[in-house]
Amino acid sequence: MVALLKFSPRRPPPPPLSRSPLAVQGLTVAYGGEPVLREVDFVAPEAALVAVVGPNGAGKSTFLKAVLGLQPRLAGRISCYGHPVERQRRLIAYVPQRSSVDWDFPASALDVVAMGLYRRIGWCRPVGARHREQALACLAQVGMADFARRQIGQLSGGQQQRVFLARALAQDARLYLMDEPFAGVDAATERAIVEVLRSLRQRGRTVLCVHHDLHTAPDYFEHLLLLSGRVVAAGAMAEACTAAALEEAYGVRLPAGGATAVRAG
Amino acid sequence: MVAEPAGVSGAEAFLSIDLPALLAALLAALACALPGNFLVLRRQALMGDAMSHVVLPGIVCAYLLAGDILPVAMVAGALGAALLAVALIHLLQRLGGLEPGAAMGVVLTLMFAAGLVLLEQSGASGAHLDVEHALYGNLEGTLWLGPRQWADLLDPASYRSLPRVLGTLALVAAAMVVLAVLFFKELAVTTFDPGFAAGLGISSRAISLGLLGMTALAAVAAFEAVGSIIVIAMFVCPAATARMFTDRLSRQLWLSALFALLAGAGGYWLAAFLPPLLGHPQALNAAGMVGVAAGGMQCAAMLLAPRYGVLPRAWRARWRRRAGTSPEQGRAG
Repeated sequence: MVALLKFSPRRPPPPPLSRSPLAVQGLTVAYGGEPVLREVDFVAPEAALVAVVGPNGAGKSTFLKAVLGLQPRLAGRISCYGHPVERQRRLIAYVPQRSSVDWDFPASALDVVAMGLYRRIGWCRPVGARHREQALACLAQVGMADFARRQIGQLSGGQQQRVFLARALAQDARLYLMDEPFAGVDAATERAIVEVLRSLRQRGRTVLCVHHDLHTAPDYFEHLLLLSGRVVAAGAMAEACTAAALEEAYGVRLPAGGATAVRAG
Repeated sequence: MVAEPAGVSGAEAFLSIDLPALLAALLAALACALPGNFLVLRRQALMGDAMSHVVLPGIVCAYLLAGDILPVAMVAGALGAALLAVALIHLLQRLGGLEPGAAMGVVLTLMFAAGLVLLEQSGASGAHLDVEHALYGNLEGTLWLGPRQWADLLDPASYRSLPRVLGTLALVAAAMVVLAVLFFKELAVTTFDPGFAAGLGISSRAISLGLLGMTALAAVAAFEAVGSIIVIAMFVCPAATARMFTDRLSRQLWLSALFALLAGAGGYWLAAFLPPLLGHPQALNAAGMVGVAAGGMQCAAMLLAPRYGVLPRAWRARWRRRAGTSPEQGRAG
């Protein structure tokens, strides 16, 4: 023991990976040499709804993409339920920004939701009647059962967002990463999403959600990850969401979880 | 049914001249149409064009190295050229900062031009390898000197003289159907949402490379029959026509196959049988007419398709204005 410590004083063995849904250590991400995220440390609790908040360019979407491996990281360790995140992709569902796909694609709402089942269906096998039923049940959870056969381009923005949400539900994951699901949606969709978030938490799932509306964040989420190129504040909403932290992140004085709606979008 | 006493009977002429050419046109169209669906949806339609042009230097090089027309060498050369083209396109995009369409345009013209120069200088033109065939293909030269009457089609012996290009095309077309059916889900999800597909453990890069491989294979097979100019029509037109009639990808695939066969058959009929009926002594270029038929079909679909056609939409709008109903009612469904 003593000898070991003596001979490797600079390299302590890596600490055991956390068992929590998501544990990020020293994550650094750069676009073309310009660091977007620096030294991010974050641990998401079990069965928690976490708002990922920050000004434009704070690296919120980049953070999600780095966790998913869609964006290469310069440094850092990411673990998911005790294992490196690369080996746990089946436990993670991702709801990308609505603008990230071509909605003219020839598919119905049900076709898109069924994509969430592809891993379970397996390679080279067709989508069966049983899978279509499961997909329909997921659409029903977001109140979209009536639109199952509609081509996705003919849905409103909020309805498209709910289709994406239903697709993530179909994956039956344990960790959900959502990139601005509330962006530009109508009131009905916002209520539907909040309901889904709460039912996910009830079933022990953890959700990280990029969110822009500081006004509603404390109502919908009980945890906060405040980013601005680095972690400005993280933890329980009541403690982390302080006026000082928000001012540091946004560079202007904002009321903390306050009465004024602040839309940084 | 009509007995022709002397010379070449109608049945024999059809069986040895028209049938093989018609089959070649049908199979080439089918082989290109299926991967074409995904190319069009990925906005990579030009890739089909690029593939069909860049195979020329590969085929010429293979001929020069092998010293003869060896099918295996040809296909290997063509696939090698296709791979080189894909690498060059990526290189131009990354190093030159060119947008994909521009990169493909540069590479396809460069390699096709190099192929033409090689072809002219090498004296390969003696063996069905000349500039004209590279451009228009060789549908008219696809002869089946086996069956003399309809009953011979049941005789296995007549299939021994089946032109080699028909065998290749049939194999490639069958492969396209099987691949499109087997990997339908994977092709669909990587086309619609590559980031999401990665989360499912489906590598978008692997599927994209597979699709390029399918495209190259279809282009190589079709190149010999219909030439490089028409191949692009076969990649784009059936898929784009089918898209006008449906909002489901699976149905679009079947419809595109149907439209490809229609274009192949219709085009060949227009070239071979219509001119004599109109009193024109000579048949027209069959590959050219297949392309014209495919293009004409797409124009007709754009104008007349029940839901997305320009005219039905205009009529519905007019009817609604008159009836005074809300536009939503007409659109729903």
